[in-house]
Amino acid sequence: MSSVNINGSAIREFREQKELTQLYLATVVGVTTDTISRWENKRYPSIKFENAQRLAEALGVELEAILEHADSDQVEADAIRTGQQERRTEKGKTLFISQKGVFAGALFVILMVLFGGYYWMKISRQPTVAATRILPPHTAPNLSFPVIIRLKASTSVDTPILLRETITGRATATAIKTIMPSTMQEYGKNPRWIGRLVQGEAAFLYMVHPDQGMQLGELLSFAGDCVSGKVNKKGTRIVGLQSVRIEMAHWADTDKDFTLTDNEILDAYEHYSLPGNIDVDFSDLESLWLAGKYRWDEHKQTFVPDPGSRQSQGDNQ
Amino acid sequence: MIRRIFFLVFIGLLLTPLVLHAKTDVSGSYMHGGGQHVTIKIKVSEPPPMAFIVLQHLPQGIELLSANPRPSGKGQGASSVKWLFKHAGPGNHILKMHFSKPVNPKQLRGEIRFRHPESGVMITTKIR
Repeated sequence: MSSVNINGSAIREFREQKELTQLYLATVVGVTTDTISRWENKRYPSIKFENAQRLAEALGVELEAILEHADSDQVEADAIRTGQQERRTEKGKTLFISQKGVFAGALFVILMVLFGGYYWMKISRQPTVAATRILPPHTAPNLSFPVIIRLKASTSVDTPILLRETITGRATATAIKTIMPSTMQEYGKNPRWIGRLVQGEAAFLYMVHPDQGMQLGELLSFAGDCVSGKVNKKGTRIVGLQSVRIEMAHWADTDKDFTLTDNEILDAYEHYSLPGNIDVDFSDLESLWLAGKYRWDEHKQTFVPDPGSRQSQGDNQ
Repeated sequence: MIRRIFFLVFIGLLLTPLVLHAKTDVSGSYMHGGGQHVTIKIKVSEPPPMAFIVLQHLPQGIELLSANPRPSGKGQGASSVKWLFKHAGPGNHILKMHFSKPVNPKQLRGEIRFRHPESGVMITTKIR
């Protein structure tokens, strides 16, 4: 049962204005005259809501007129209290959410540190691969030359590996002739090789064929990388020589004196051979080496042995 | 005592590169020291070079009639012959020569050339 606070002074004033007796009010409301007297003499007596309604009807005024104005203050006070309580609740909730956020953040940071540490350990324990390109610094127009890329891992690892090369300039590439020359693979300007590191080592050998119309001084440029999922998912750039200049000398003739010495042919074999049957066709090179001197044949557009000028040469070393 | 151990370890460390460098080697020796038929025993150690050259000088007035394997070609002024061995595996290899006249063992002179695979140094060794 709800109760309200009535204004005793106001009730007395309304009753006297309307020349009503306490007995009249007591009879209408259904209480005793002592009760009415007590309501009027107490400043803010609290009575039942139904009695307050009947009292207002007996006095012929709105209920609001006999209610204590302090009620609004009380309501405000209640509201303030309620608000404070709600704010405290909200604050509590916020604090709780904030604490949860801090905890989640800390957990996230810890997980990230653990994951980063694990990844770093994994990366640091992964072997690295060094890829080095070896090619002659020069060649002649229309004279094919070999390119070899040697791969060496930091540990003795066996894993598949992918090599990607790009040739810039007027030339194309092919695979080295193996047992079946008909299967010779055309690479165009993008030699690709999928092989395998065996005990941490591998090599990729291919031939480059400069266009016949290349001019002296023209350059062929090479760039590439190698990728291995197990070793390094990020491509490792192939280092080493990156360009070949077109000059009037055989690619194996390092000092460009039109003589292929023992040292130069041994260098060629050592640089551009792989163990096994995979080999560059050095038959033309050998014929030039045996002849000692060589010259450019304009008609054939290639180098030919020039034994005639050999008589004046010293020891062919 | 400790000083001696340190000294030995130090010397060992100094010699290690030389030992590693000496891993690849090609050496030759004459098996029959005279007559018309001469054999060269070539010893190739591990890892072998990709190629090596055997150069045999011909004594004055003596020609090479045949050889197994066949020579790759003649050297300077036809006074020498040479062989280019490619992809020769490690171990012993035999080179047989048949000369036009008996050869005095003291007149036999030859050499082997190869490029060291790791250092790139060109090495020439005399056939003994």
